[in-house]
Amino acid sequence: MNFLAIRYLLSKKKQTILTLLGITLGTAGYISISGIMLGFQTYLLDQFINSDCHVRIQARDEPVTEPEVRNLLFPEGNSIHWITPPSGRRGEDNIDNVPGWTERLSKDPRVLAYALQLQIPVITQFAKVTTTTQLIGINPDDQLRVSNLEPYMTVGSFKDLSKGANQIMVGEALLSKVGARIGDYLVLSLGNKGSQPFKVIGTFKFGMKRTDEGTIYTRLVDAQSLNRSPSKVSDITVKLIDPEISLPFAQELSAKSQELVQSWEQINESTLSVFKTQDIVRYSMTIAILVVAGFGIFNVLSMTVTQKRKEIAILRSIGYEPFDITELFLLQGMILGFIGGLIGLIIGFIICKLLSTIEVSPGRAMGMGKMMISFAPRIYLIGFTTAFASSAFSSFIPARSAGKMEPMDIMRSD
Amino acid sequence: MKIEARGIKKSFGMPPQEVLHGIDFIINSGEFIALTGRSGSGKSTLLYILSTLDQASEGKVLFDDEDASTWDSKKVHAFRNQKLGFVFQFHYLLPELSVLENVLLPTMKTHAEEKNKTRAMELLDIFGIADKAARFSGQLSGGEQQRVAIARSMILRPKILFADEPTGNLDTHNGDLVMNQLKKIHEEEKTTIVLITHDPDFAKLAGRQINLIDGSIG
Ligand SMILES: Nc1ncnc2c1ncn2[C@@H]1O[C@H](COP(=O)(O)OP(=O)(O)OP(=O)(O)O)[C@@H](O)[C@H]1O
Ligand SMILES: [Mg+2]
Repeated sequence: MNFLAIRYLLSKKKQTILTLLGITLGTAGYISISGIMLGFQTYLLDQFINSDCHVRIQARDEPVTEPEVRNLLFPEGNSIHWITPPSGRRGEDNIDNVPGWTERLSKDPRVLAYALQLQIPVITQFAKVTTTTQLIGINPDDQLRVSNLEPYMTVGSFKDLSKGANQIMVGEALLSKVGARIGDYLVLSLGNKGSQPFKVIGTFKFGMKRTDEGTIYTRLVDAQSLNRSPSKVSDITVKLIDPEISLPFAQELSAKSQELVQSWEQINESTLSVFKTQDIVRYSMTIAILVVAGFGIFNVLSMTVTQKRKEIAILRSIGYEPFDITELFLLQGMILGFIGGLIGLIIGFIICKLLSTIEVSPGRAMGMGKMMISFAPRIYLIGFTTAFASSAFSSFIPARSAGKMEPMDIMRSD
Repeated sequence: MKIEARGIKKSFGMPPQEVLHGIDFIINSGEFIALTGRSGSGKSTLLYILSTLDQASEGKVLFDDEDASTWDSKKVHAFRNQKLGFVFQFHYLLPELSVLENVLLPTMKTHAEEKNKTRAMELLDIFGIADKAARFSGQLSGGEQQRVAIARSMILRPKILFADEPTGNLDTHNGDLVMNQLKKIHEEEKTTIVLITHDPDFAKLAGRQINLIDGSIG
């Protein structure tokens, strides 16, 4: 019946092409939109997981609650009435027991590397321009074991930081914001603790405006000396051997310690929830292809079945069985779904290739500043399977009704 | 192949209107029967029942003493494909297929089209349309289409050939051509032929006439 199915499709070229077009566009649309969304997600995830850290340990600062204070001050008093209930924030902006943490982390077999940080807000000044920034003091070698930062460097290398005192790496956007160049000195000040000049020795570009405009890296010791707090550490970043266990790992540590321990999923919770929304959009797209492809095929085949009633009667009288007739129409739908899906894959792929040459973040080292597009085989598999399966499914209904027609009913009704 | 009709009745519609009122006859293997009668007397209805395309309301049809109503769908269709040939009152061809492909259509069911190509061309040649073998069937005249349909009914050398006014759309020359061809396969291949015709001359070519009058044998 394949031969006849193909003949039928060829004999009504316009209908066939229109139906194919529907399936093709649906599939290509799904592929390019998924490519964009997944590409973006992969890019961000890479930043979250690899460029930052799997788990971050921070000083916990949390609000003081009334029951806590009451239990502390009046362990037995049940009838305490506050005139003004206690409020405020407890906490330290530094991690208490750094040696304890480093010992624990270096013994934990799940930990690949960890790095100490001191993060302090500073005011950055160059000539007459001032701006507030976050100064991050790091041990470059330790930090590079935890975070894959080098691909984002546009000038210099993080390793250069260890070569001297009071040197900084700044975001490219910050540099142009204050109008400075490599080699210039920026004055970083911490309110009453005074200020010091720092030499710009390199730039980075993550492609995220807030980070690029507001972050400065320096050596941990330099940050500590600016802050006049010799061994103070505010953050410990951790890289695990298996990033999948970040969340349980963080929860385990958090339960056993004073500090706030968060996995990358928790830190980036709001962005990850955006991903979920995007995924819903993609799945809705999948359903849209299903409907577009399905309805197109259903319509065309239902019409064909009606037009071909006499031929069906002939075929049956010649000895073709009901199953042959069903197959004849089912095949047409499947051929349309297969070819339409296949062309859709190719067109989707071409669109994705073109998109991936668009420069969205000039100068960004990662992915050469081009739009990040995902070419994951999964996208193509889902796109094609959806188009093909919905085509087959929706041709099944008219095909089966064609198979059920009896030759005499057809001949009598004319 | 012998065909036997036993007490065939057929009713249509609600309330049922009886169109055939109990038909009994035997058509022996190799007979050439002309089914005659006035328009509306029930010839086509009877022919469809005899040829397994329709079911009788009562009674049965036996082929070589086998009750066809006991066959399953697979057997019925194989029987139609291998043993029966049809020519309908209205020539039904598949317009998507060429003339040659239309003739070969029954052979495609068993993927035997290659083997039968020569025979198909011979048949087309006999009916004077060999030069149009490659054309799409929609491009032929009514009479030409009818001849293609007849060639198609003969392609697998059926044991029984049912024809419902096959000459209805043909001029005298082509009508004679078709009748001679039916006569020829009847003689050469001992094909049983059941032919509905209004033409008394053609009816005379048959070995026996069965005349229907208002749904009964007259
Ligand atoms: N599907 C049907 N429903 C109701 N009545 C029908 C149906 N098919 C046939 N009839 C009736 O049965 C009778 C016999 O019809 P049939 O087609 O067998 O006649 P016929 O002898 O072949 O006539 P013609 O020579 O015009 O072809 C007619 O009165 C017709 O109206
Ligand atoms: Mg008739």
